[in-house]
Amino acid sequence: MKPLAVHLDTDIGDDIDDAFCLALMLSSPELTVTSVSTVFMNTAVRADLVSEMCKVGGQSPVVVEGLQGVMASRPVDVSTRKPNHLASKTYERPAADVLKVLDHARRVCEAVLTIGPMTDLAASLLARPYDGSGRAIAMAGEFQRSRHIEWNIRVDPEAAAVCFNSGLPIDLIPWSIGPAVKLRPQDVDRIRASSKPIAKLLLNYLEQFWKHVPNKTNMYDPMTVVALLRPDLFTWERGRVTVELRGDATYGMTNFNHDEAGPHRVAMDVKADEARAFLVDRICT
Amino acid sequence: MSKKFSVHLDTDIGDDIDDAFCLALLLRSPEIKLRSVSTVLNDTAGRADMCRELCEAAGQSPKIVAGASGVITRRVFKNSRSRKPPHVASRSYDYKADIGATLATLADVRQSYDVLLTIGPKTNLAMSLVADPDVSRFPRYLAMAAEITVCNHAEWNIVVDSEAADVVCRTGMPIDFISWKIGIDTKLTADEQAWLDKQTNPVAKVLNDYRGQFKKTHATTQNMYDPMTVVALLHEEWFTWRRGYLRVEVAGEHSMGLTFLRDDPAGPHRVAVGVDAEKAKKWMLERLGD
Repeated sequence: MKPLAVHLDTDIGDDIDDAFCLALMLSSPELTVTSVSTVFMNTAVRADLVSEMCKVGGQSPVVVEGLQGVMASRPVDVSTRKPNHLASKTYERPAADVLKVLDHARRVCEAVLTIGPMTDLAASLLARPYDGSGRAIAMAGEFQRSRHIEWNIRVDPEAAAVCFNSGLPIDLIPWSIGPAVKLRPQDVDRIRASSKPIAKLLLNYLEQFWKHVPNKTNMYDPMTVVALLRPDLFTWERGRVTVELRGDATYGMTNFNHDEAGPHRVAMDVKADEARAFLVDRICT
Repeated sequence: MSKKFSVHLDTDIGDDIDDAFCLALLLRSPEIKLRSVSTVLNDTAGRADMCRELCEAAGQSPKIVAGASGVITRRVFKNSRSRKPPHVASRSYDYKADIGATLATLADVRQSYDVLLTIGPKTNLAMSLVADPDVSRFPRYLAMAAEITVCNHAEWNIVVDSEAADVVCRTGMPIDFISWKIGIDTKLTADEQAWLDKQTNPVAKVLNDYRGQFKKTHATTQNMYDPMTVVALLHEEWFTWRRGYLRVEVAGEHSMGLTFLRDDPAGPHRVAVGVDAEKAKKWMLERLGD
């Protein structure tokens, strides 16, 4: 069967789960990573990580540096933020326009996966509004944990609202799925024991990351890939997601209303053991 | 018995059935001297009729005033201003909404009572606080209001008049909140409802009449939000409390009326987030029974 073409939009370099997500994509024979865009702040540094992973993973997608800024009216304070893991070197990339790359991806890919702030996708949807083509799977939002404003939304609520109001079908992996599929020490041991080059690189990034955030292994982002390949592992609810843009204490909070005709599906639960095993098996073997 | 607590109740009795339970529990509690009642939201005269009917059944005659029928917020929540009460008094006592009398009553409450309970929107109290912001003397205050643990749940008494709730919370005076979840946790079982149906004391008779009307639109559910303010007043040890600063979202488009607690051991607010439901219900039902 011909592999499914996918695009990834990522803020890789902060939390480690973006790297796991890309590693899973590169390790999945059902997928071809046709293009990757980076988003939010150090997009060149993030693109180096992507280039390094793709090279080790044996694929050569278009890698493009996306938008560094945000549409947010009340941005988060980023004055002290630095990447938590880095590529071993810088990589040359052909010049590319993120909007053109994303526009193409929306037309031809099975899905656009967004695992960072939704700024790039929002810009694409403003440049060419949804016309019935394309779908997205986003790690974004939270609908079960009281008063939790999820990071990818909080960084750019206005961009998220553009995406959710666009009509584009979007499946959401909310925050609460990530801790449910947290890697256990034995999972990390399996990665450590793997001889696969991508697993070795991933371990290198994980060890860099743990110097800043010891032992964190919540797997938010890779669940977008699992949702694409194994949607049966999730409990989905269909409806409409809205983003609070005017709230004082609630700016960036996501709200879900059930609607059988709605364009959004939210993963409310996950078969955690199976999803985690799927991820680790793919990366290690 | 030691001195009774002098209590004022501010209520939107006539909508959910729990207000009637709360008033009945006050009237059946020997530790309580119910000195006055004010009603709030929409048909406050009709609500005052219900209070009078229950009080007469108990042989008590607190001052009853019909308070504000409107709300301070300009963002009306869903059908909050138009819905019909699912239960009413059997007769009219010709109350009229009287804001002046309500503010005068609340001024007296604030200066001389032991306890204030609010179990509806906080419109009357907010107007009182706008009229006189000095809270250096204030009775112990318990409110059925707010929710801090259930995701994205805007509690009715807050969301119906978020601005009023904001005025009250920002005074900085001590408030104990019975959160929405407490009412769910103390929902009456079918057996408990059947037991109550058999009680024949005068207060229970009126309460059961209201319950019968209420069941026509709410067949099975009787959540005990409001009476838990009385239980918490007399048995706060049955509740799990979190202390801090409660804040009301008043600017949000999709989140108006959500409440947030910033935990702080020096904060003026306590929110009940857990309850020994069996103890609380048993105690309440014993009070209401024959």
